[in-house]
Amino acid sequence: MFPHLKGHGQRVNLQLLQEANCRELVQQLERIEGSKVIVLDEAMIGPLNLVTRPKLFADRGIRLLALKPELHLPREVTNVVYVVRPRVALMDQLAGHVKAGGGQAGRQYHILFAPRRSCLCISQLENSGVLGSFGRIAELAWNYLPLDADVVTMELPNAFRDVSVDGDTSSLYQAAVGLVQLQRLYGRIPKIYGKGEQAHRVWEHAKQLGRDERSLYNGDKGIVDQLILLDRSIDLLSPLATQLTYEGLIDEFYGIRQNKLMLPSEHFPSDGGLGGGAGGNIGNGSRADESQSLLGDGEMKTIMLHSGETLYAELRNKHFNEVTKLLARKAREIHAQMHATSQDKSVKEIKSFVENLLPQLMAQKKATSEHTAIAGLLHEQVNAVAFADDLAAEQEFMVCADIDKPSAYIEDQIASKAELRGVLRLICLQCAAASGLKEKLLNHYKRELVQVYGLEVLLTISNLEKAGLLHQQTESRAYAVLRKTLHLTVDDNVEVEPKDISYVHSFYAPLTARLVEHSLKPLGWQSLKSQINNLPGPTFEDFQAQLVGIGGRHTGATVAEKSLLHVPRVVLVCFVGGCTFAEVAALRFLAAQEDNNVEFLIATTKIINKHSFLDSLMGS
Amino acid sequence: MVKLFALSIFHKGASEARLLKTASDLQSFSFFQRGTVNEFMTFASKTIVERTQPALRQSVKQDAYMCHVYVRADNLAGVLIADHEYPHRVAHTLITKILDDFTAKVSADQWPNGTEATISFDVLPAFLARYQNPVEADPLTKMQNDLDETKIILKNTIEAVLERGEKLDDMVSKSEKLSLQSKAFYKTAKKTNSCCSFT
Repeated sequence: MFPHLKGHGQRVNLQLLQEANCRELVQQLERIEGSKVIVLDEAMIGPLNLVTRPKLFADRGIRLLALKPELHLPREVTNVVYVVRPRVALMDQLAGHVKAGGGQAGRQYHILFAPRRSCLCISQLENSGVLGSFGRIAELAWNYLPLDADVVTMELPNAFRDVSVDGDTSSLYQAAVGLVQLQRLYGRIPKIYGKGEQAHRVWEHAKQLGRDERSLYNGDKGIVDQLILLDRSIDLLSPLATQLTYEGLIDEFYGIRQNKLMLPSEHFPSDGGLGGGAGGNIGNGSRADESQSLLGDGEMKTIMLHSGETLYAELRNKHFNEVTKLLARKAREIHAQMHATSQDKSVKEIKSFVENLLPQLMAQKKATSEHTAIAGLLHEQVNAVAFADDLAAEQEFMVCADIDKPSAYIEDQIASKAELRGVLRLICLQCAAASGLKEKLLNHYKRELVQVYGLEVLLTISNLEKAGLLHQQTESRAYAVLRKTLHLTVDDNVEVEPKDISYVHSFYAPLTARLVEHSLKPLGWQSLKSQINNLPGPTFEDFQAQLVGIGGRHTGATVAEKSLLHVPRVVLVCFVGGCTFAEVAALRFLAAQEDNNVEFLIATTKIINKHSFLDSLMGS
Repeated sequence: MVKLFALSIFHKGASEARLLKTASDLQSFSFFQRGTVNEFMTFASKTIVERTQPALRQSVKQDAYMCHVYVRADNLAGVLIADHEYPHRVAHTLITKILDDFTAKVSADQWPNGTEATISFDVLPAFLARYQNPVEADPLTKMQNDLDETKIILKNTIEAVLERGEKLDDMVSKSEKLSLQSKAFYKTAKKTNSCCSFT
């Protein structure tokens, strides 16, 4: 169903995860007898697309509806199944539906909470007096969902905020449950490394839950050799920095939702008879599927962006400047191939061309055309003066230029009442690069912000302070030191055909990626001992060994790792709090280096970018 | 311009070639020239038959003309005078054909002693006329031509298919433009003096 999840010759096959998740849903649905309709929380629509195809529901005669306060439920349906996140606010809508549909004889309501039920939600239903109308209240244990062949996500955009601002650690527990689920599918992970407070908590939960899983300890170690848990709070600069990879830029300007990009179709030359997927078509290839388009909008063109799209897979992780060159080269190649037909050819050759090469060539042409259009749009955005100025300011902070002074650029931005989110981004960036702002400077910014944006901005500032994005300077200048020791910024930056991961932000390598890079070296993090301790939170190491004998004693302390020369080790990197496409690109770059002999599987609470990261912290 | 001028059938005797039948199309020549040309062509045909061994085909260039000759083993010969562009294969096919036809219609005993007047074989002018257009007359050439035409249609159709969606040339120029306009994202951050920068 999702062939691209298998990847190319890699050891971890995420199609297994997708199938397991899909089975879970089907089993839950089959426990409910009779005709059904599924009502989805908006937050679940995307995840559903990652794991199922519309055909699954069409075959069973199940309609999909989006959860809205005023929802018209079809009369003849006996069962209404809500698939929702456990948010109390949503429960009121459900209660509303139940009361409105009051007279319906024989109708049953059910809830599948994803991923876990919440007592608060159930109490809310009870308080509304509708709990009795609900038949089945179950859990849909979708923790990690496969986003691509090497990325799994929990699709929790507010995870970082929930924990750091609201003190709600349920996402940490969920991450742990997810890790155990992954181990159930792919086997026990023997070696664990981690950095950061929340990362540590996730591991502690996972270890505990893992102990209860007999299967984890009875067999050989699984496919994954190592787990590295990284807390977002150890590196707050990277998610604030502007990404310069193709995928990163698309996400920052237009937003990629679960591998889908939607843009107004006017930017794309018409496809004639060969495609043009307006509306929510899922997957690449099955044109026969008429999708249940909950977002259906004929004005927009949907473009699938995942590793199954050959051209995109080539372009996505590259720096934008390299992408434009590649696209030009591709266009020329296609042009040459197509005009090769004009030479004298025998009928046989023409026939073979039409049957074999032509469809391929047409597909390549369509893809190149689409991406040239997208690149054109990005180019316009990137050449805007505002973007360039912002980028210059950002880059100066990242090299610690004048880091302790009030930035004239920021002050100008505030004075001209520029978009608050952008201003806060730069202030937080300065704070991250300076490893804290001097009290005087912080207060100065706060005063300016309040003067221009009003007192409400103080609430946001308070959130940012709780989250650790704004804080006062302590003695250690962790970033400045790490910048030198880990070469976070490089002087001789290379954007096209780079040799170093710093290309993802043109000249800056994300700290998290550098940490992972170092862990691959023979000494691992040992060589970083002193520097890594400058980062907040515990540095931890652990192992899960095989149990031997009935008593359940562990074997010796060391885990004998048979290092087969040509088999790459598999490292699961778990970002607790979100990661960016640039960080993913950096890790993919490392994996592509033969010398590293590694395959990464990236797990994250959500793929974030500078906008969504701040949005999650700014909301109430 | 493909053109046939004369078509003749000879019998190659021991000492000389005997003209049995001939047809010519001298429209392209001016009225006054025709007589001379006709004589010349007859003479040339006769000579060439005499000079060609039996069971042999030849195509001989003569000034602006090409003389195609086929002398059969039984000494029946056919000569076709055409211009240089007339396809040789078609010429020889025609000669073979008329010789076969002639053999069918005119008995062999008439050959050594017959003259134009005595031999009744009237289809030569018709053949000459028909074969003025080698494509129509000759099935093989016709097929080859049809094939060539089909290839051109195919090529045009494929090009039309390839142009579906965005015009290929547009795509090439758009992407070329983009790649040339790429700018450096990282300009080495200068240590700014606190001197004012009016933005």
